[in-house]
Amino acid sequence: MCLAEAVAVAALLAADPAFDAIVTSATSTSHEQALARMQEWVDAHPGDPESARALVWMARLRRSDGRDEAARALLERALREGPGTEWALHAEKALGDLDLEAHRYAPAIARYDHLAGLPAPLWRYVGSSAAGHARGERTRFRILIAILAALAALSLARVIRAGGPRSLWPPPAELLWLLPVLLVLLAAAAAQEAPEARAVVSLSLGGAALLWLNGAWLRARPPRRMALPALLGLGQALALLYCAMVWNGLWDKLVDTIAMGAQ
Amino acid sequence: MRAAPWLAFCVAYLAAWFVSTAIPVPLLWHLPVERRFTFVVHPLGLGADFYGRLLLCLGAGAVAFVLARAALPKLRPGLIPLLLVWTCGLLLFTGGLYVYTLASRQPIPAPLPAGYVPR
Repeated sequence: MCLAEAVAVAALLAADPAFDAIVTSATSTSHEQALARMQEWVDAHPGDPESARALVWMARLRRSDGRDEAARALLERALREGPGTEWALHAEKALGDLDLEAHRYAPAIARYDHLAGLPAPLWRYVGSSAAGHARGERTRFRILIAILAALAALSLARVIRAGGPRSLWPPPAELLWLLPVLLVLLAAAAAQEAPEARAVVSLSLGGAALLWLNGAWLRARPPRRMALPALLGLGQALALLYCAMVWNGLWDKLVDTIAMGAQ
Repeated sequence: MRAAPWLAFCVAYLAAWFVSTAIPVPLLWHLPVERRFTFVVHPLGLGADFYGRLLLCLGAGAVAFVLARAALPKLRPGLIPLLLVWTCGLLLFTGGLYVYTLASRQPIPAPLPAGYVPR
């Protein structure tokens, strides 16, 4: 999608035939070749107001290759070289997106708020909606950190009270019983897209860790009533599901799926 | 302990069924219209993967059976309940996957063959 966006962005205002040729070549040649040709174009046109557009295009191509730091350098250069242009605003939005993905919420929100304060209605809308989304992400991330801290503290306290790490061996029956299900889940993750695969792996490994810790605790200190440990285990499983969704950026997808259905 | 190899067979059979459904793997497909078999991930036309998947899972189960039978003298009696739990767990899990997959499926009828005349 980033490549398609990059081509579309360049095609919007393309005027120089050489620029056009480089952009269209990105679909047939390697990204490295297209980027090298665009770099030559930028170097050959010092001070050209269109160079910021070229840098934004290059940054989006870098992002589509997963090279976010290289994209960041190009976007910062676009901001420096095209102040006051449309492309500086595109660069600012893209820098905010990079900060958001890296969980740097304050700089991302500051960039989006700056865009929301512009007089142009389009950028006001883009900035305000992105800022609202980033604030939601920040809240969910803080909840995730609190949940992880609570799970870690509970697990540590239980291991200590159960007699230390030796209480974890041998692995409890709770883990052994569900081991094949966790293993086939891990295998199935190989067929998913990257965020979904990471979420399934997080759930499988996190579930294995929780089963191990809870099973060892119940073995060391058998409870009189099982209702409370069962409820706590259910809560831990839901917390793990929340963490896997938020950490892997699947929260919006989950909300959309609930609102609009799987199709 | 004689049940151990058969339970190992069930575990491997069900695990192969789940994994081969969740991951696109090449299978033997029966093409009923063309009346032939083909070995692909997914054929373009109308095809049934049942026979190929059955063969794959029987093969996986047979390997587990042979391995468990060879290791029979070393197996502990406590392994039987564990294998039974694994079998039940995988059966429920694989069944759940198929219920989920089939519940949301909307069948699209294949086009009638060229030259077909309804009687």
